[in-house]
Amino acid sequence: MSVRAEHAVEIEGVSFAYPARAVGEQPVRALDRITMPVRAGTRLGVLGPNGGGKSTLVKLILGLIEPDEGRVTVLGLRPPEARRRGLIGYLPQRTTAETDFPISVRQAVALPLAARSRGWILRDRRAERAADEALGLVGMDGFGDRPVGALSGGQLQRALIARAVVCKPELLVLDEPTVGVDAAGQQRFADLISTLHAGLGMTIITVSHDLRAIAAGSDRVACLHRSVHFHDAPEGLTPGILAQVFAHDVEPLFGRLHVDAHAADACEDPSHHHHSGPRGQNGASGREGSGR
Amino acid sequence: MTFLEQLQIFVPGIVVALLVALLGGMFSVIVVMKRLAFVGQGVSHAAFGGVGLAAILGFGSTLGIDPLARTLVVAVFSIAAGLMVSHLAKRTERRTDTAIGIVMTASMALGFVLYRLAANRARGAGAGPLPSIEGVLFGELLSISPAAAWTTAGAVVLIAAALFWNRRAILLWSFDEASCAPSGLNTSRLGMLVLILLASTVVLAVQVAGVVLATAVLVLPGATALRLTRSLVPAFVCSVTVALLTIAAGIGLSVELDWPPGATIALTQCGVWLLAAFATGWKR
Repeated sequence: MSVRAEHAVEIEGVSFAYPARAVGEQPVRALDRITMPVRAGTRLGVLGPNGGGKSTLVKLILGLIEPDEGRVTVLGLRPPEARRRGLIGYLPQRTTAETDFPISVRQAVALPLAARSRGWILRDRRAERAADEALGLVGMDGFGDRPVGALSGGQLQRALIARAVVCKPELLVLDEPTVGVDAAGQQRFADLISTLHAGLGMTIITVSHDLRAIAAGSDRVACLHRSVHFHDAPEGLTPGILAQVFAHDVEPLFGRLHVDAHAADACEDPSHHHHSGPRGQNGASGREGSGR
Repeated sequence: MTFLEQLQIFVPGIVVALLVALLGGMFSVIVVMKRLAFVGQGVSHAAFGGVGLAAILGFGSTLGIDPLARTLVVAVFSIAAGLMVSHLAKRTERRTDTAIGIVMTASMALGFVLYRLAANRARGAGAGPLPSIEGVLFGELLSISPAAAWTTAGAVVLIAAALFWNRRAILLWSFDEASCAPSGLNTSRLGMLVLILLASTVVLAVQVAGVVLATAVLVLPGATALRLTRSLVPAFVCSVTVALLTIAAGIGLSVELDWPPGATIALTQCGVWLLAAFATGWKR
């Protein structure tokens, strides 16, 4: 955790294609020569349509896949090494946790840190303290002794955020954190992330197809649709735009968000039109789904 | 035969049964929570293939070093079968239950063919008897030798130590496998480790309850414990306690009623689970 680099994440000329699904089909290109420096301590929102390569980008940053060309470094390290050192926190889009597991909230939050400690240490008090601290950060003081199965959906998500930051990572990656959450819930989530950012000073990358999820808590916005385009949030996301965002669909705002016409083209995608409908909630579809 | 001499015949079997209870009880919570029951079932049936292989390799008899060599062959075969299931489930068929169905039936069929070939050969050569099919299928607690008990004790210490040493990583893997890789753990290595430990435990349990009933030891104590408690350490303590008590009671009942021990143990464990299920309102 002593690693300090100017850039938390450096993505240089990265391309990635999933292998063809059937004989005769072409490999599916998910990312095309992406270059994306993420300065340490910033909050970056990555906005893009379903199938635009967001999940692929997340997997590359986490080091779960290797790029076909180009280079990804996290805090100056190869991503798997950064992961091994506990420098990356990750909140998945949908939790796969067994919520009826006989485990307390504290134990569940402590596990990623505790799993690193020596087997002969009977009780890992350091991890327990870190778990309590993380629970405090997400406003879950006093929940430590409850069974995980007794938490509501919102509480569970906060506990999972606590778990993602229990190792005090330098980088936190949030994958579609507010899918299926109403506007008030999104605001609460954005406030929570701002508190975390202020408390731990980490770099935060939020990936979403939903502008609202990104607008509230990002210093910069990158638009991703196989290639990437950056926008500094201050002029892009004014209060006026935000008001409209919360009232209307995201689509009309794309033109305004993108300074140059080229970027707007890059963001256009047919799947984007029914954004707030159930299709938008489905998460991975088409291209992204084929890679799993 | 004096009482002491009688007891001496039972001792290795009882020791092995209690050791298997200890280990099975520990493992059982993971098996139930991580839905490994059918994997355990598949591996235990695959052990029959190992029995056939050992017989055709010439370790067929119930005498000398043959039982030990057979256990070793069965262990290697079962672990290989477990890894095969994992490979088929990940790469070829993509469905774990299909992979288990394939490996399990293939191993059992192969085991039976090899066993018959070995039996014919032994009859022709006038060699010692092969272990009975019934004993292999349902357990032969009373024919366990002191050497087998010592081997089991050593294996239990090794497996329990590996489980204990890696317990937190295994817990995270069972609780939320997808979060292991982002947390910096090697998911496939962990899965492989659990599979090898599970297959080894199954091989030990096969001595007690046979290839058909071995899974009882790995499923019922955990299923019972998870009905009675909702937190981590109590669940493991309860599971081990239930395993030890049901196996001891099962052996006692089998002696008392003159029922086969493996089946009596499995029935006792089912009975205790039934009681726990009724006591906790049946539905989950």
